[in-house]
Amino acid sequence: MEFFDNAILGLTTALTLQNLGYAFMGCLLGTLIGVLPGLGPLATISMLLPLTYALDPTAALIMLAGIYYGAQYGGSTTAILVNLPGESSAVVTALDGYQMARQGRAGVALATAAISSFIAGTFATVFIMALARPLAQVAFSFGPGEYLAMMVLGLILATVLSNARLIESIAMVLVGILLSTVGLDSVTADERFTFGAMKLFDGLDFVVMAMAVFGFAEIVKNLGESDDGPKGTAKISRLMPNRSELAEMTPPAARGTLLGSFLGILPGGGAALASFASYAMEKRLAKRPLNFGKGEIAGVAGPEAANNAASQTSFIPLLTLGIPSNAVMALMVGAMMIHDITPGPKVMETNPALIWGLIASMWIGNVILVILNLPLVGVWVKLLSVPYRLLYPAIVILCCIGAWSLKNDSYEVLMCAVMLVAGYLIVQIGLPPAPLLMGFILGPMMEENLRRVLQLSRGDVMAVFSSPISIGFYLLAAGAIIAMALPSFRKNRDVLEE
Amino acid sequence: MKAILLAAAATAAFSGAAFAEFPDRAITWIVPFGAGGVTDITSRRLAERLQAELGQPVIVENKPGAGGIVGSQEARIAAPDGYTVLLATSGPFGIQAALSPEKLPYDPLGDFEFIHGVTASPQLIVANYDAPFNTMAELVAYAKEHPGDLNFGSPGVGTAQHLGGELFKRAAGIDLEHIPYTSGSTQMVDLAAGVIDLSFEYQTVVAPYVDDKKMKVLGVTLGERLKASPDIQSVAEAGYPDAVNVGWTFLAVPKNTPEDIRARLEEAMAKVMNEPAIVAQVESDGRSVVNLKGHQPGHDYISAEIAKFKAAAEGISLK
Repeated sequence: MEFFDNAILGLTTALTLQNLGYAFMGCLLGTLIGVLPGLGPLATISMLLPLTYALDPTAALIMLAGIYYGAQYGGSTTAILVNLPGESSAVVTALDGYQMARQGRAGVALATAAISSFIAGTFATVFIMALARPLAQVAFSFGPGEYLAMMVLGLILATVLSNARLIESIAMVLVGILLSTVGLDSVTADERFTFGAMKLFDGLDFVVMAMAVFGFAEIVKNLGESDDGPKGTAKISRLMPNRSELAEMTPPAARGTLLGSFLGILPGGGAALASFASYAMEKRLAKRPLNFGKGEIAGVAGPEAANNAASQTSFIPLLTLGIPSNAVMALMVGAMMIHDITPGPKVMETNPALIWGLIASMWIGNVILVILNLPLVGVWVKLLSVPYRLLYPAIVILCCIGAWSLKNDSYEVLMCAVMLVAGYLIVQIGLPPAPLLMGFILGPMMEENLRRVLQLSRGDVMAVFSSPISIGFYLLAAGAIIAMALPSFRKNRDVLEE
Repeated sequence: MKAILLAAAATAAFSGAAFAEFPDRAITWIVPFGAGGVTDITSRRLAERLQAELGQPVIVENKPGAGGIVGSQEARIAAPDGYTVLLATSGPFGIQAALSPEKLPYDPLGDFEFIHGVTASPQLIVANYDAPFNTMAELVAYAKEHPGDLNFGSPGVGTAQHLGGELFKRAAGIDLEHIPYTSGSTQMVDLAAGVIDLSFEYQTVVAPYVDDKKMKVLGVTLGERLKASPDIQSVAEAGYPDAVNVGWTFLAVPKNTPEDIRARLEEAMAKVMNEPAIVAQVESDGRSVVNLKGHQPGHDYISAEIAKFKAAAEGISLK
């Protein structure tokens, strides 16, 4: 009965007029920020943090959380409409979502994202309420060896993100890892590829990379092709998915929800893996895997559900153990500390209304987001009919503001320009940019954990295989390689026979 | 008519005088780290109080990057007019200056004037709850029996927590392997799970794990016990006075800031740092106020710290 007591306590806290208002404000703000390319939840929450001084802590956290998942929703919007993923999770949404938009199915893609996210959000809320405490302990069974194995599996799955040849995908993953090594070495503090520039000590920024190799490169490419907009953008048909499309998106969304809910619990980067682990799984399960990357609805539904579920369950380590699982969660710790609440295992007992209110507000936030976003689908899709000579400069300016806001510094904007050249070349040669971004995200985590394993074992390489969990991940990775090698062999043969 | 002219002249004269009075516009308080951390939160609290003292907005601006070097450099090249102040912290002003001065684009002692001390944060020596030692003496005895077995974590190379471990190692003559992390939180999970054995961390970070019996406190890196937690032994008491280590912060302005402007800032900061509410706030989580007013005391304090870090750095295999 504890479950129902907690749920009721949570709902009565979250449903007060004041908290409902802040949840709405957070969601609205988050959506708007997510839609502006390059302006992520991190920048927004850090800007708004001081304003929450004056608020009651529950209201403050509810609003900040609203911004966080609101921005996830909004981020998918730009990924679908203009191929601009503002968050690592939206990189995957851009793959098939943007293709759907080009086929005139932008409305369907946006609605799919919203509906899948809602399914995932609802499930994840119940999941957190029922299982947060026992599952929190999972975090402790993941040491550096286990994270290393998980990252290896992640990098192998990253090659599934494109329809390019396997060798090209692997090459791009490696280039991504190479780019991620720029900056100070985490163990010795030696400079790597910094050319003595202090601003490169922290490495290249993900948002800059994503905007440059996806959005900007796409814009430049389109400018080279025609005067007014990309070729082949079909007329917009329906806005809402029909019955068969709904049936098509439900199983992927359900699988994505489960996968995302689990991966989100792991504080060392599990959530980053959620959306494309789901994409890889859907591609594997699909009857027509070659349609992925060409506007397949399952390629939007699965990852969107996974990413929303993971972004919610990533609150579990924060709420139950006080461990922030990503930079946004670290800001949440800051928000709690401003109000003299030290996050940790005791918070659930000392501030139950706050914790359960926050969890209940997640579901309410999801309802608000659906109500907010479904009618907005029409508005966003209208944006596509704005002539490109107006739309493009606006996007570029917004991206530059976003890049600047990362560190309040114009240096990141210049970096965008530099990376754009590289991104444009990649797109022109026909190499897949998504594996590059995944290598860039996962590379540093893999390196860090590998070196930690070796340091802890005093250099014994076999320590990498020391736990059953790690071995499980390596077996999955080996299986994935075999599975990938087989169809590509068949595919090539099919092509030859034609 | 004459009266009006006189009044206008008087207003002009008055506003002219007001114009000369510092400050007549907003002051930027640079925090060389991201938002949401302890330095940021403390800065925002102090900035609010300083604003009340000076009668002008004091705006906290986060300029993260390169462990605090980027933001500190930003302050160095700012106009020396008192409208840009910097939270100078032990990382970019002490440890980096001792370990790799060639990487610093500024001279911490020569390019700034110190206004007032802010906070000093000692570290708690924490061990995994099941570790086979409960005091510093037992830790040292265990480490001597098992040389090279124990690991200590830190949130990164060259952080105050890393130096805390290195200073203790040297003071106690034991061998500990340093495992650098890139964030404090992953390090805490690994310590709670027993992947690493020890950490020299701030009280705010370790408190929840200690409450939850995932970690135990062996000591505090101070010369005397903490007022708020008198049951924790200090390193000096345990016989390792050279392991005393605090993460400190000062408020600084670029060199050549006019003396009257510095004096105004010094007075205002001295008032803020002695407010009972601020002192209580700082002491509630194991920190203390550094009550050093003016440039010279700050300069002397920091140069002594750099010398201490340099001595510890000889034992560190950086590179």
